[in-house]
Amino acid sequence: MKNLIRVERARLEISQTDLAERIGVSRQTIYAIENNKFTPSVMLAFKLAKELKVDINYLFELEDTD
Amino acid sequence: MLNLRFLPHYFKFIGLSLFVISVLGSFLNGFFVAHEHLPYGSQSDAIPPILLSKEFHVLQYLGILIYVFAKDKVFDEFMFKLRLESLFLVFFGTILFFSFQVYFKPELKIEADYLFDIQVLSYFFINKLFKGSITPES
Repeated sequence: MKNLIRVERARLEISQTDLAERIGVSRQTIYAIENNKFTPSVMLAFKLAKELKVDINYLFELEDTD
Repeated sequence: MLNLRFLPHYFKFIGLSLFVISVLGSFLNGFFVAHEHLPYGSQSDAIPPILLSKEFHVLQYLGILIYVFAKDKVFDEFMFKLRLESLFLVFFGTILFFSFQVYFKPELKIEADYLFDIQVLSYFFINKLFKGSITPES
C-alpha cells in the first residue's frame, strides 16, 4: 500500500517525532509506515489522515500487489 | 479485551532490572563452575550464596511478572507487531534447537528454568535488534 505521509508531513513542515507525538505512537511507527515496512490499522490510518488534514483515500492507496 | 497491564510504565524497567540481577547470579555461577572444572550443579565459592538462594530465584520470575503487567510508555501497534515477531522467532528457535539437538548433542539436558531464562533473554535481544533496525529521522 502506497502512502503520501512523507509528502504531507513536508507540506505541513512537521517531523516524524511531532507527528508521532500528536497521534500517540512511536517515531519508529511513523518511519515504518512511510517506508512501507508496516501497514497501519484503520484507526491509525484515520488518525494520520485527520492530523495531516487530508482525506484517507488520498493518503493511502492500494497497489495491484495488495 | 482483558487488560492485565495495570502497572505504570516505569515498572517495565524495575521488572527487567530484577530479572537481569537475579539471572546474573546463576549465569556467573555457571561460568565459574565451568572455569573451575567443578561438577555440574555445584556452587562456586566466587559467588555470594545469597545470589543463588531460592529468594533470588523467585525474584527472577517476579521481575518478569512485573514486566508483563506494566503498561507501555507509548503503546502502538507496530511495537506490538515487533514483539509478536520476536516471540515467534524465540518459539521457532526453540523448536528448531530441540529438533536437531538429538543429532549433535543427544546427552544434553536443559533444566526448565534455564530454558526459560534463555528464551526470555533471546526475546529481549531479538526485540532490541528489531527496534534497532528501524532508524527514524530525528
